[in-house]
Amino acid sequence: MVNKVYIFTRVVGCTMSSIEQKREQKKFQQIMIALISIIAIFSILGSGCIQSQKGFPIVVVGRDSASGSREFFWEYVMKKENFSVFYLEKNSNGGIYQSVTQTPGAIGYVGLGYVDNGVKALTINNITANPANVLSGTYPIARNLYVFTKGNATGVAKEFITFIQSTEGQVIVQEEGFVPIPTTETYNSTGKSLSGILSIGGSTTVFPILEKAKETFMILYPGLQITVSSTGSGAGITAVGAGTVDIGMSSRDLKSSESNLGLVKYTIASDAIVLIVNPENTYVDNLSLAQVKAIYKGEITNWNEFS
Amino acid sequence: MKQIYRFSFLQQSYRGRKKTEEDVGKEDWKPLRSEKPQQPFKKFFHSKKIIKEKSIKTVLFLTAISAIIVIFSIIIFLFKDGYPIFQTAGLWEFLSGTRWNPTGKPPLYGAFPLIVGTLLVTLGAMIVAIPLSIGSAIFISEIATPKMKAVIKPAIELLAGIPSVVYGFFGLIVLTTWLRISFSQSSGESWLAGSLLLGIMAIPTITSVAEDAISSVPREFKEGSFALGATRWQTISKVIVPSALSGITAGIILGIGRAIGETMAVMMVCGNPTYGLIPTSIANVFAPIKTLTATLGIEMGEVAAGSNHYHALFGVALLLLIITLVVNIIATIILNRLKEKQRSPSKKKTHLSISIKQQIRKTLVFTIIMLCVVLLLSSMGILLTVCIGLVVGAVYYLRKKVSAKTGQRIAFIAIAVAILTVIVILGVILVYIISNGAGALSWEFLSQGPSNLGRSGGIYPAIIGTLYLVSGAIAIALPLGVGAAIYLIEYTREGRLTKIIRAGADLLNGTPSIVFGLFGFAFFVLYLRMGFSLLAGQITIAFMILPTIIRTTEEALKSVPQSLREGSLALGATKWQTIKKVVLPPAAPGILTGAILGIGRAAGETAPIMFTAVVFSSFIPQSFVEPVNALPFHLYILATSIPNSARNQAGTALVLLLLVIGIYLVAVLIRNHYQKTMKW
Amino acid sequence: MVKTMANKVVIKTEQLNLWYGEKQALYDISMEMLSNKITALIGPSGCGKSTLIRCFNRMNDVISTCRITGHVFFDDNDIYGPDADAVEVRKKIGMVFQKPNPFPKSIYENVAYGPRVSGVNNKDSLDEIVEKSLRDAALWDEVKDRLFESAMGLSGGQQQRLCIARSLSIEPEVILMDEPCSALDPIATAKIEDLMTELKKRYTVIIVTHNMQQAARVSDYAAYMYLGKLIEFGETEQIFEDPHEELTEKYITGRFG
Repeated sequence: MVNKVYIFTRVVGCTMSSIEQKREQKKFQQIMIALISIIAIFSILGSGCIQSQKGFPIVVVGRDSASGSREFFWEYVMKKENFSVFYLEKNSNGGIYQSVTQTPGAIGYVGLGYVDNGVKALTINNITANPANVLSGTYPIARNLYVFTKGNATGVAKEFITFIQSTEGQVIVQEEGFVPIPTTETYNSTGKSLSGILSIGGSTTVFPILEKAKETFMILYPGLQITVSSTGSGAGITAVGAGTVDIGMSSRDLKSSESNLGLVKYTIASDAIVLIVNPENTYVDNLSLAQVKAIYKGEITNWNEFS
Repeated sequence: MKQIYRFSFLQQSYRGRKKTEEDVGKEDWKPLRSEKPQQPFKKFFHSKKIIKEKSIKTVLFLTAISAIIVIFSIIIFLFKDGYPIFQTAGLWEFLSGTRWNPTGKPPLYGAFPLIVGTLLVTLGAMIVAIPLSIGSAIFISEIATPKMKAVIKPAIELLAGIPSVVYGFFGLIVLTTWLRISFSQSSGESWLAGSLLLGIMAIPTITSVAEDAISSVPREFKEGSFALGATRWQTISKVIVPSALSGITAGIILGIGRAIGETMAVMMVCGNPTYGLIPTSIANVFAPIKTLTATLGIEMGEVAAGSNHYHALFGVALLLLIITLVVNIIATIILNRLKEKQRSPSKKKTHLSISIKQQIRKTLVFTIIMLCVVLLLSSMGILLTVCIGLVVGAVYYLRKKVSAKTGQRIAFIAIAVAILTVIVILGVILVYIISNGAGALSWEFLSQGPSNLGRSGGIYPAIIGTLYLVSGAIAIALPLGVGAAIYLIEYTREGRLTKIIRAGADLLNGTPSIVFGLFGFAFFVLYLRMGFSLLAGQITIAFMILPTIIRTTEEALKSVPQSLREGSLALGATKWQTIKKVVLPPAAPGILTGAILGIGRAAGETAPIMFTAVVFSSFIPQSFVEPVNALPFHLYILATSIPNSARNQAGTALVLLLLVIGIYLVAVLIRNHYQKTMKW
Repeated sequence: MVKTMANKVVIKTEQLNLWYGEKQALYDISMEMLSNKITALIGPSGCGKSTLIRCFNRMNDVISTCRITGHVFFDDNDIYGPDADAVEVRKKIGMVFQKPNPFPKSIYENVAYGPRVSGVNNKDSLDEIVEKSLRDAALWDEVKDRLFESAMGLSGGQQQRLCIARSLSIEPEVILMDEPCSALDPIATAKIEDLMTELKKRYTVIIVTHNMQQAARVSDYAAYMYLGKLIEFGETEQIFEDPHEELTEKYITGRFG
């Protein structure tokens, strides 16, 4: 700024020198200051350097690029096309939920378990996202949730997975808002007390199920120490393949690059990808898959295009 | 009591010395020490102490090069894991590609928008921070009364310790919402939010360093200026600030380094557009942006190790390291230039004559002005450019015309505004956290583990985990750091080796904490197969705080006057005796302060432990190879991933804040106490 | 008549040259200093007096760019020889600096420091040494009631006498004093000059001073230096009343300096 003024004053200084000699010099300066400040303030306010936005712009929110949920969304909804450049990344379902509740114009996708009264869940092709529609297959964007072990599960890991896949475990799945796998097997505790450490890591979507299941399981077997960390599906698969965790959680299936890790897959729940918007958003209740794709591609940018 | 006893004993035991002239001569004078060797001093023998001295010197040398070893290992591992992406995608494509889409078809690895994001957010942060910081620093050192100073100065030093995740939490919940509503934007997550938050975070750092620099300007300069009839403001702006310029610049560069390397806060408030977005106009401060650090923070956790995406992230980490190196080099050059100007002119004469230099300067000025004008025109329109030009011109022109007294009044008003702004901003943050978090505090909160994913229950495992991490880290870093500093200051002369060590420590100092996290992940978790473990976290944090300890210990040792060392040597003390008995005691408060600053930082950092040690759970580790929870991580997960946990979020933030500020407070108190008792 | 030991040569330099980096500061200095005498090094600023005196206790080792050729003998031992240990040398040849540099410790601890680092740990011995040194430095009466207060609270003159007491505590044979009074007021200066006269009875004293009158008052021998060279050396009376060299005369009579 000082540099710019250097030239300016060379110009202005020459013309001002004659005025300086007049006695009203001080008054003139004060008037000049006042005038210039007024002009400056008004022009800043009016010139639109802060462009407020018209209508009700759509704020597109989703998961980060290493997320299993996003991978699934990109394959099945986006049909592997690019997202809008304004797609904002959050690194967890909870983060998307947070954004949507805080930002009136936001739309995001979360697992079924994260939907509650704080957000408005949209129907897709007029089909509601609920367990019945997921099980029957009518809800178009549904997927399975998995856990993986290296080789067949043994020992404590096997017990835990058996527990999750039993009716007691599936009650937990249901409580967390996901879709239980159809099973009728109840869990029979082994009678002997289990002990040791079980480490589990992986998908943030699956995390709440296993975290809750662990709390119940550890009451059954107080000698057990189970840690569950949500590092993401990819990291979970890598970790169980490398042996640094005993069980890996994932919200997506194995990629071709991961197929030689020798992992065994166990389905523990089904899940739907639900599109959620802020409850204040009265413009939409239902979207077609094509419209979802258009929004996420950035082709539709304002909610009032829907009224 | 003991004192009196000693006196009477002395008076009894002392055999008076006759003071007559005749009574002299060495025969009458008996040596009192029986340990004194009685042989005639024909030969000087090698002291047995020489072996001890040499071995101490070797040990200290090893600690000194530890800093180099650390930085080299980091560079090596980043390179090892990052290099493949340059083979796959090509270096030029990586640096200049405009789209970051590692999981797309085809995968694109263009980091350019991320670089732009980092630079923009840093630039915005500095625009916010520099005026406010310098104004506050001037206020504290020159204008505040001693009472005000005694309150504000430690307050700002304490605020420098607020963890970034706490700022991020505040930004996510309060700042973005406020921005969205006040400016009628669709979303508050933007470049502006990031700049404001980073600027606020940098203010305490810059203010502390600048204030120290301004305070240490010798009184003679001020008195000389007053003696010539200058007003206080004229003295401040024309004499004091210019002489403190190198210190102020150092503070600013420290702030820039912090802004570039910040991960958690920007990750939570900048929006993170998925492909990295370059705002179309400089004036669009509400565009979301994605920085290099946020990319690492968001994607690293979920990426599959060994995949191309994984290598791409390490490429980004390498890029961050290089940017840090460049900033360091520029900083060194600027600081050296400033120091040269203050010393007497060097013997080297400039090759260019003065007139040519002036011409170059004029053309440079002209091009800069033209660039600014073009930039403003393109982004803000002609009306605004002209208005800004008029305002600036009027200010500059009138500056010469107003009387010194008026100028002083205006300047002091501006400074008052600056310091008030800083106090208000920091006050708002603190009040928000305290008022929202106080409700969550209870004995159960502090002593129980979390339940219902942390929505209820307590944070006990996180507290314990933080304590474990911090104590382990300081146990590693303190001996290494103090040893290295002692070696650098006391045992070596300025030469190539010390320059290398210092450059290494400086580079380590500016390295973003997320890079440490990545290194820790690649080296400890994967390569050494430690897995997510307490030990991996402790060592990673230790590496991170090592340069701070080296730097503060160095400063403390330097502040001991050379005359003390010479006095000790002249009494026949060896080097190590001199260090241990004469140099270290007065330097101890400074060293202690550095250690506690390191502890404070270790307690509040999330990024280094995110990929090396932490799990979000109620787990308390029983051994070093088990993972651990920690307060900053717990807050981060609650704030970003667990909806409907607002009360516990604020509670965790409050506990973390109290812990860190408590640690800093202990440091300040110990330092003050030591300074009083040192006068024995 | 003062009963003394026969005056022998205590410190002798032979063809001593010294360089700071590329710049030579001392040229072929050869002189002998006798025991129990006060030898003053005089000369204008920058002539090398302080540099020379710092050679005598190997204090110049601390400066990295310094190198010397020639010899300095203490009691016929070359203190720069391969056998010599700087630490031991300094226990025999003590130094008092221009600006008083007491440690930020108590008065007692300041004086006890020297003996402590030499291995004296016995409380009683230390007490005795401290009192003796302080008495010999004519400071005991002024500080005996506050031995455990900080040394930084003493006046300039007292601090300098404390430094002298400190150097006496390790019982050297020679005491080097580098302009000991230049930072002090006249009364303190007088006290220290009296002290020097007392000390020479038991020690050899070499002082550097830019104050000719002080040299005339106090010293037995004087060495006049100019621009790194030793111009003249001899008994003080002879130097001041009948200088042999023209340069010496010019300095003495105040033509320059």
